[in-house]
Amino acid sequence: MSGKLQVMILCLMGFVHTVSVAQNGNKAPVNVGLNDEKSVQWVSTYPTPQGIKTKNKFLKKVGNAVFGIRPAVFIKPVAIYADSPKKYWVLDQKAGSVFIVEKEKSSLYKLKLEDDRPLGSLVDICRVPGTGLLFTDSRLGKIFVIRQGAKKVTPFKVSVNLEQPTGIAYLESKNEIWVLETKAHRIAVLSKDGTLIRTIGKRGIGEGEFNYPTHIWIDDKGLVYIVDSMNYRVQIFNSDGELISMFGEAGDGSGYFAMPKGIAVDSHGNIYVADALFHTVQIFDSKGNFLYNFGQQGRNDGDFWMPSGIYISKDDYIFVADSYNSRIQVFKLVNHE
Amino acid sequence: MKGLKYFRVISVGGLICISVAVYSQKMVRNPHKFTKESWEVNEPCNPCHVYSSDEKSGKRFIISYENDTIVSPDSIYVSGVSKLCISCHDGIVAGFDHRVDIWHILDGRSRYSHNHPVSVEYRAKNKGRYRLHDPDTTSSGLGGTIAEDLLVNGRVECVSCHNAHFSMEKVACSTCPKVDNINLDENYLSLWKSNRQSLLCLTCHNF
Ligand code: HEC
Ligand code: HEC
Ligand code: HEC
Ligand code: HEC
Repeated sequence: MSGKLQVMILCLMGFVHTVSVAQNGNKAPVNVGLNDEKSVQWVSTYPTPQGIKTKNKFLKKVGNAVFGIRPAVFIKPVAIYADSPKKYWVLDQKAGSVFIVEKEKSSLYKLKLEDDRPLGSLVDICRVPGTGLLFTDSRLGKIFVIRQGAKKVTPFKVSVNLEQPTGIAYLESKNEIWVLETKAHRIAVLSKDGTLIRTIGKRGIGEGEFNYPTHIWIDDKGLVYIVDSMNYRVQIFNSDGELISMFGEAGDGSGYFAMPKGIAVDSHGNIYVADALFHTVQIFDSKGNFLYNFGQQGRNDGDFWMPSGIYISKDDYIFVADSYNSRIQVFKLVNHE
Repeated sequence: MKGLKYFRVISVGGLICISVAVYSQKMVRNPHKFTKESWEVNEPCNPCHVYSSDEKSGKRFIISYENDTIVSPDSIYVSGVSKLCISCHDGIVAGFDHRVDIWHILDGRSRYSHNHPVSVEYRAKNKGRYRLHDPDTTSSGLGGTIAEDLLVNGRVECVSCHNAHFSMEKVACSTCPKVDNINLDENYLSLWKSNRQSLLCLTCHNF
């Protein structure tokens, strides 16, 4: 057996499901995308195919016998927030829940709303220091929060009604929460207590205007990257909300966009955009020049089937929500210099 | 489904024309008209059709799934043209895809009651549950057979039930192929035909 299987049954209050997961064996790293100086290496896939199988068989028995429940697996993961490759949070839109993946414990917890209501349509997640993890639900039009140590999810009160909130990110330098209101074609900037400070943009094709903005990333320098999906471009703002630059257009070749989704920036300032219809992640330099891409349609390691959310940790681990393969894939950026 | 069937559909004549006329006032919006005002002249078909980047000048009209040769081996995967729909109907750009939670209308309007498979092969079946008419001989009611009008490469996709060009306004886009107005039903979204008395379902099914 290539994967070491560990099974842990945790009977913790508030955790609805606990699931066993096979850990990855010692597979050699595979370069999936590269240019002269850097390469992206595939690191792991979660859950592993073996993990799912064993899990189902085993936990169906145990789960049914002990808890009367079926084990949870990802159905359609859409976004990730990672502290490290060992611990990350995954939003699963179809399961309507948030999973915590802790590799060392090989377990996966499913959180629920305080009043056990189902979540509607989860889209994006970010950490707000001192508050917890915030995530958006586009159908309920709400932001929810997982507070430190809490076992359940609670609503995050916002002073206005948000119209289809999707991408969310925290701007450290100003203590602001930036949320995209896709249907309103604008950015809502909130204070940490949920008060609307201002909105940025309106529908249009001009500079600083949006047509279904969906995903957001804020880098260390406080630059804000917005995927303006139906304008097929990325717009970059400074922390005052002033447009700095933009790039991208619709097309079917490398460096163009078909259905841009998640966006993230690595420690070198290169910009990664997942494209759901190209089944790939395209990498651009900070000026928007196309560098290279990794992944193609398929189900093997390093392949994607309509990826959506993407997250890059400080140490350049790249997490991709491989939505229709029902899994998370982890990559690492390696420098050859 | 080969090519567009609007011209044929429109020639079905009387009944449909009348209903279009009667209901056209109620048609207040086309949810797929993403282009508005200043960018209307731009590329109104942009969301679903892109131009081949190699020959921009030639404006070759393509659909993003065109190169999709991987056929889904099981129903977890969405393949073919449905990918296009689902890439937006993912709860992020637009409302949910109901590949998993289909709003089924067997009779009446009960929602969320069942899942309808998408990207599945259509095989005629006259035994058991969910019997299916022969696609090559049964009329779709839209002018041709089920296979011609509703299936894409012999499969059921989103566009088997939905008309992607629902009430697409005649566009002032000289480079785009022409699409005539079509408006088959007033309030049943963009279905090819009304699903009253499960008409749509019974086109294929003989439950
Ligand atoms: C909501 C998405 C959507 C929009 C918007 C859209 N189309 Fe389409 N179009 C499709 C799909 C899906 C097909 C393929 C249908 C099929 O295979 O049955 C298609 C097929 C076509 C075809 C036939 C091509 C062929 O090879 O069969 C033409 C022509 C066309 N569209 C024109 C247009 C024009 C012109 C516009 C803009 C006014 C437009 N479409 C807007 C989704 C869309
Ligand atoms: C470019 C993004 C995009 C694509 C691609 C797309 N849609 Fe839509 N669709 C929308 C938006 C936005 C709406 C407006 C309603 C909403 O926001 O949920 C909509 C509305 C609809 C509606 C009507 C819902 C209502 O409330 O009236 C139907 C039905 C529909 N789409 C089916 C399809 C089908 C079938 C396809 C594939 C051929 C498709 N869509 C492709 C974005 C898209
Ligand atoms: C078997 C037929 C069938 C197929 C296949 C199908 N739909 Fe539908 N869809 C329907 C019917 C019927 C309705 C009308 C629901 C109603 O009126 O409440 C509907 C409604 C919708 C709506 C509007 C829902 C709402 O409540 O506003 C959207 C969006 C939609 N479909 C998208 C899709 C997409 C995307 C696909 C492919 C993944 C798809 N449909 C495949 C039959 C179908
Ligand atoms: C374009 C043809 C077509 C239309 C229209 C259509 N169906 Fe289907 N339906 C199919 C096919 C093909 C299958 C898959 C049969 C199989 O599994 O081989 C199917 C399967 C089903 C199933 C079984 C699902 C399962 O999980 O096994 C149900 C229930 C169903 N359809 C209901 C409906 C209803 C209700 C409608 C109307 C909203 C409808 N269908 C419209 C072609 C169609």
